[in-house]
Amino acid sequence: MALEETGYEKLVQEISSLFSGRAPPFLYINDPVSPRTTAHVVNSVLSSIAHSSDASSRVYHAQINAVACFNPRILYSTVLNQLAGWGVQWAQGSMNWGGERWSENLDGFVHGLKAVHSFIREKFLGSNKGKSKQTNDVTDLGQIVIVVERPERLSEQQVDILVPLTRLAELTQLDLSVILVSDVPWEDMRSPFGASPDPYYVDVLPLNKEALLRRLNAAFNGLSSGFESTTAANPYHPSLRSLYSQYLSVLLDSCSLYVQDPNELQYIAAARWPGFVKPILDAQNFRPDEDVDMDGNDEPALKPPPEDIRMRLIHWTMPPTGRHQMSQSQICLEIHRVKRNRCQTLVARPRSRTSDSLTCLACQKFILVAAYLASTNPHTSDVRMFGRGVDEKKRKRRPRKSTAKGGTTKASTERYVFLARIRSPLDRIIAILGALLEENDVDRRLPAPEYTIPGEQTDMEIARVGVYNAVIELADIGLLHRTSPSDKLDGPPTFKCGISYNTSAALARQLDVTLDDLLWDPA
Amino acid sequence: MSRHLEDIQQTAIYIPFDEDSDPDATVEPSFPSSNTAIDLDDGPRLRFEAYTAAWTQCLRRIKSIIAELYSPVVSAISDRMNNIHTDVLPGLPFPELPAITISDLAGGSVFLDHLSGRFDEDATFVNHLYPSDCLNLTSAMKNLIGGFIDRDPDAPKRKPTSLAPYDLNLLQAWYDVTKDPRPSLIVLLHDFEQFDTSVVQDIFYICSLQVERLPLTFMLSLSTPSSASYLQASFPRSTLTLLRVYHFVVPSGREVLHTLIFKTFFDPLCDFHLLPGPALLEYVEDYYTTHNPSLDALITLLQVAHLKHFTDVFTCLSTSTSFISSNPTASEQAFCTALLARLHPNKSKRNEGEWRAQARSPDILLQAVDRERTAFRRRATTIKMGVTLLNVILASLRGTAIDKALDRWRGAAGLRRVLDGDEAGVAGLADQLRKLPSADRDALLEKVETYLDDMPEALRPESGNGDLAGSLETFLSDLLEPPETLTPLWSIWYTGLTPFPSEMLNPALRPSILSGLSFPHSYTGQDLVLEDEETLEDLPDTSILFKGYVKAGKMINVYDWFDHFRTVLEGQRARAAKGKGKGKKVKDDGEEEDRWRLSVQARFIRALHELDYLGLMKHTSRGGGGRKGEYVLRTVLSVLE
Repeated sequence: MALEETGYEKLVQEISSLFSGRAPPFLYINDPVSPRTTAHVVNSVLSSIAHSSDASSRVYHAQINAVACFNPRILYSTVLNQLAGWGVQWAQGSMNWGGERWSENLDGFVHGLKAVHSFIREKFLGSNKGKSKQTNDVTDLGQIVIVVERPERLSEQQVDILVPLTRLAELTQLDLSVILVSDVPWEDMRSPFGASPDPYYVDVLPLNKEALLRRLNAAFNGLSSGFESTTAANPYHPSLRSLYSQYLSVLLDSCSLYVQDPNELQYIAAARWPGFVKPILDAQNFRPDEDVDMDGNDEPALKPPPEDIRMRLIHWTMPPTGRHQMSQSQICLEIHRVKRNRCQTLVARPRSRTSDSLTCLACQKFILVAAYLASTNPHTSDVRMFGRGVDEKKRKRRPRKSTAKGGTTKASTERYVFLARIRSPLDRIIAILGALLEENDVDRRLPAPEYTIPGEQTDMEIARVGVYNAVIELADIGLLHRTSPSDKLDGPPTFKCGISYNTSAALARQLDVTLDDLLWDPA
Repeated sequence: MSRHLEDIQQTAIYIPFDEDSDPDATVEPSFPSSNTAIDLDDGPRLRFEAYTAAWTQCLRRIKSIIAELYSPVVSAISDRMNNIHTDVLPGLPFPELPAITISDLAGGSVFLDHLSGRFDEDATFVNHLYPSDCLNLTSAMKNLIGGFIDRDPDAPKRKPTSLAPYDLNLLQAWYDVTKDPRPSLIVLLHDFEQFDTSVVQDIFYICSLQVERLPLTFMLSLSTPSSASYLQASFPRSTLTLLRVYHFVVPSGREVLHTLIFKTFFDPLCDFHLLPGPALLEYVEDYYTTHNPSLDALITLLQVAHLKHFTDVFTCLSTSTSFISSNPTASEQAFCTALLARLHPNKSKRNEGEWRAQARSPDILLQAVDRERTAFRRRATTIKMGVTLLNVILASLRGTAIDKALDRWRGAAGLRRVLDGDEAGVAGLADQLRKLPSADRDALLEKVETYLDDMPEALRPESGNGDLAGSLETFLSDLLEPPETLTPLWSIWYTGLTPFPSEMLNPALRPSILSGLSFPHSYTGQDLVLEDEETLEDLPDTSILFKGYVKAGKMINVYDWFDHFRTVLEGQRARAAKGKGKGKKVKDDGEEEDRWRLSVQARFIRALHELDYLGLMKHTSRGGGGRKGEYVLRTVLSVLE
């Protein structure tokens, strides 16, 4: 049995029994855990049937991925080329099989499929010419099978393809079967009004622990078979097989509760194994009578994966320890972290940046704070918050009302965090920026004797190209959200602030601005 | 020109104004001058040559320093590239797509240029993708594939029945027939933050499916300091699981700036034509930290500073003096007189003889300049040594108790404090040094001694008079004496306190437009007319209209505006007629008058549209006629005149 089929014996059996006779024209395989693995298994089963000795039960199959075939033309040409066993030749202008315009639309595709079918028949007849004359019957040829991975993308982006694809056998009048493999149930992606026929459902259950263990062990056996002849210490040496299965059972005991995807488990096992086995190999290497192994060639292989390259393991696992064996509790701790961090990543999905990544320029910091104020304060409050009399040298700071009562501060702070953001035109942000700079940045500026009127220098500063440039840059990296179409020339563009209260408060603190004093508090 | 137009890497192309559009005519570069009255005839050329020499030297130095700064990261990346597809952890469930993130806070192309310079052109194919290339998946894939296969000029022609140009199988077909050794394929995504994440997710997914047969490597150029957290925040886990990410951080920030400035201008072993003064240094630091941290901008800034410096008439003397003949022409005479006046700002009895001799013969005068130059060079070297010594001291005291107190001498801003004659210089350093614990002091002394051993004998301080900290401070302040005190000609080699022309790099848009409209002549270079006597009639049409705009209220009646405009034009016409004299009788026939009226209207409309394009007005429907109402709304109020 092929390596990728290990653990999926039930599915393998079901598929092969289906294709030993006439398989239904439309199959839907639903695997909510790991559709990628399932698709591999299906393909591997089909390939083994394709080479079976009995001509009538042979299949000719094509496997496509709906993400990679994001366009009908790619989908059609990929299917036809695979069915015909056609290798595209660069030297011949990367011609598709047949050289006809079969990939242009659905009609062409149907014709193409018929052409492929007769091509296959001719090839089959040609190879059987001498042996028997009675194989003229078309039904003996075997089935054409198209396996589609991630078909949910079709229902999102190429809806008009999905229905014909499910009815392909009807359309072509060929003995043909289409298999969709997805983690989404068919009910969620089927087209309305029953345009597609009901499929033959196959549900794949998550693997149990025993099957997982067999699967992962098989993976190790596949690896270690390459090292059988070597005597040098190596983490994948066959003699470590029993240790590996112990390691796996410890790993699965703790992980399988949370992670069921065999790919993920295989990844964790593969990434942790070198660190796990290192002490043993070290002990082996330092045996005084074995100086053959001291040549250091094995050293790179023994190193655990560097922390920074293993994105998935950054938070998930501890740095490899020199201890002899990772205890059960340590693994549990790791798994706990895995869970916690996964939740965090999921929550953090809406683009939010942590404040530590915000090390931008002073000018950008001021703009961000100004944008935050602009999108939190209502614009009617601007004159009162930032306006100043003509004769006043410095604006009188409004004494904060809420500082006296501790409770309200917290409540109002929380309100700001969840406050609906106001779109504000660029000019308003720039004007607030001017007010901020006038209050907080005057002392830091270079001396400029040419400006005599109070505030004139600020007016010049906020009109500079650099400021506009910084706004565009911030909008590009998503810290400001542009809310007006970018190709519109009429009127100023509008922006929303993309940072949270906490981040802007941190920025304001770096700039010595008291943000809370500038936030409009209607209470 | 055509070469630039075809280069797709160029984002902007400068087509110079060519009056007679004759491609063979070569235009002499005309270098501006601070004072044309005393400039030599070929002064602009001489100064341009001096500028070219100085800037080339400076740029070469900067480039070599940058290369040195970047080389550790560059070689780390290229080492990683060498085995990026072979050094794979065994036993993974499926192959991962290698991705290298380069986080360069400075942005710009300097680092990536260095990196691509490292790759062997024949063995490494780099495909540059920009956010605008990847607006949707189809165009992204098309550019990704086309960037590689279009290198082959005699690629077989593809027909409509061939693979689609956005089908990755096409790239696969191309890659399958490439000759051994197979090239490594790099897709470089510039400004990665600006890419649409959903498109990038799909690209990664599609490429990871084929990575085993088609070893692509992605390089992501980010300007976020922490690329790991950016990836975590922007991409779902399902995408991250496809990647094997290596992070690299390009050095940037203040440290880079300081290294560049010190090593370029204050290395005692480098004799430069130009020493930057406090004002320039301060501006550089300010611009770098508040506006633009890119090295491209820094280099441009220094280049502008050089250009500005060499507009000074006397800077043609910066390196050589052998250009004034013994029989001076009129302009040379004027130049010599001005130079003499500069050389002796206050004539005294003591140097009167010298003055006479120099006034008599240009040769003697120029010899005096040569002497001054040698003296200045020596002083410049001394200052550089002082700066280096100060840096040695500051570096060795990093992390000690008085580290914080020393911060004011650090960096380019610290340099300003040291070099500016009006500031305290290094005063107070001794007090700080006295506070040092003995262990730190010994370490410091050792460093200083090693440094002093390399110094020329003549410059070393006399040893030992007890108070070490005090003598160190005195020694330093002796070394760092501002160069203005040495020679009256210092401004040839030193920018001193001349402010940087910041309007050139970072102009204020709206104020510039408004002042350009108000004072057009000071922009067109015809500012020789005295401003006080300038009347409305001297101005171009748009400016005349703009003056009316400034005086008007919030709403402008277009007809009144036109009336005002016409009155001014009438005045202009009358003056022109007077200028020509009474000799030519002004014909008063109706036809001429009609033509004049029409031309006034046309000129008005043209000027009005120009202001309209500048966004200075908003049309209203007031007075009837929809958007063509009689009134327009001012969009710019309170214009300072």
